[in-house]
Amino acid sequence: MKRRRSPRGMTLVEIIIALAVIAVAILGAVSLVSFSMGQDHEAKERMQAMDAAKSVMERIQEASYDNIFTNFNGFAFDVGMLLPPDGDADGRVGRVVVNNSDPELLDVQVFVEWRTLRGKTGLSFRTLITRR
Amino acid sequence: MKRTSSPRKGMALLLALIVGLIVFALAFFGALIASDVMRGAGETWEMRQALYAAEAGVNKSIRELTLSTDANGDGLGTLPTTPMGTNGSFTVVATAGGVGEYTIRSLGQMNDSRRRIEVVVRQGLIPVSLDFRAAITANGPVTTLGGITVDGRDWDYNNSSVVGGGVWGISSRSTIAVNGSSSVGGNGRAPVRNATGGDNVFEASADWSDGIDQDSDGSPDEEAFDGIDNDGDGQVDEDTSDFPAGPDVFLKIPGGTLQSVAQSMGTYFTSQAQLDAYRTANGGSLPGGKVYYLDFSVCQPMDFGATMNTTPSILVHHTSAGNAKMKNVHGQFKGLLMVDGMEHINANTTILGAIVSFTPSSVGNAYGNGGATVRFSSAVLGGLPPMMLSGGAWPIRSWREIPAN
Repeated sequence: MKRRRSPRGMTLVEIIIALAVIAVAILGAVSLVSFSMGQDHEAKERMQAMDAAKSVMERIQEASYDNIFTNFNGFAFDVGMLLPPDGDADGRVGRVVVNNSDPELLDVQVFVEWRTLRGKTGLSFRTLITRR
Repeated sequence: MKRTSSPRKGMALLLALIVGLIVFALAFFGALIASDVMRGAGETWEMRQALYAAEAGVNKSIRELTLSTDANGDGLGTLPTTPMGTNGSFTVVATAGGVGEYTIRSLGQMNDSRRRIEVVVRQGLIPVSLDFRAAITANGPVTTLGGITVDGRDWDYNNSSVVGGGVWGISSRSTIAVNGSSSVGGNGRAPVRNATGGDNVFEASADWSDGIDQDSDGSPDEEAFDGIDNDGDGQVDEDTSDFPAGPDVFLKIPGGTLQSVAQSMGTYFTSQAQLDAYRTANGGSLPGGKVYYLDFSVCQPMDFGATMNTTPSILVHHTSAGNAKMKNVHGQFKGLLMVDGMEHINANTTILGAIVSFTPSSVGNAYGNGGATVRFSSAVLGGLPPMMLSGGAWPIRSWREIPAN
């Protein structure tokens, strides 16, 4: 007796292919979501670091000129929950370097370096300050 | 019998594709947004660093103004494009405005981000505190002889009329003797010949303590008048008890200011010969609006010239040892005369403004004699040349951001 194919339902092959397509889409989506979350987290960390560096730079700019080198060269600071990179000497994420090779025109740099899932990253601000 | 294909055939695949596409699209847009946030953070940093670069340009420009040296030959305060860190730079154009004023436009750049700021700087004036007790304010004894007239009433700028009661004629921490035919007026009273203490025109044994606790620290008059923060409260000479130690201290300006100003004006002299040469080069007089600083021990004679300077000057005769002596003064002078010691303001002399002398001991037999006139004038003292240092500060008077392009 000849078997008749049912006109209703789907074949196993169809279902397997459909599941495979959905699996691929979900895998791709998961990886994209993971990437997005990573980017979002890194952006937040970067903004946090930037705000801290900006705040320190503003403190330096508002300080009495004669005290800038003494009070801020080598100054180290923490930034929220950011962790210093592996092997960081002082265990702080932020630091200030004031170059006074011309004592009347200070070269001020504020660095922030922190640890991320992919290693270390950082940013810095730099300006010149003179006596006014 | 012809086989007909089911309308549901392939539906699973189609549904899977649609669902998969939607899921992927949502995730993709999410990733795009996250990327955008990240790029935004980067651009925010660039924009901020561009601003710091522009501010660096302003500060370097101010430094060039302070040095008064156009290092690049492109105009004082103007700077070519100068690197500022990796991929950053600033470019500055400075334009001279009024006296001692510059407008500085600085363009800061970091990668593709640019910001431009415009600031106006004006050379700093050191505020001078004028607090005169008398037409002649002396630390040591004052004796007047001959027909000299000292008048502490307030004369106008042109030496033509009395406009106010003014101050004492003479104030001395020591003794005052008004002898010969000399006369002294002040505190609204016309000059009195051979005035005595009862005439209320001079104050002998002047007490520079005022009994007032100006700095509210519980100790009145605890500071020496010496330009030093004696009580360590961060303020200098804010509650003094003594006679000022020197010319800068008297005006409550930083030590060395008067000398620096005179040097910048080319009116700092270390010998009588230099002073005489300058006077000769200026037609036998000392031009107004200047700060003169005589840094040698004896100035004799001191001739101001036959015509009074039109704008007030400051003339300082002072040495680091405090032993300078000005002797045999002649001519017409409008302004403030600050000397260590004074001997003989002579016959034809007219001094309109005030005199201050710092030596505590007697100098010669008389401070003034002959037919000289010394008159106090608050209008003249209010018009003294500003303490503007060529190497001084350039405070920012205005700051604004303008379009970068």
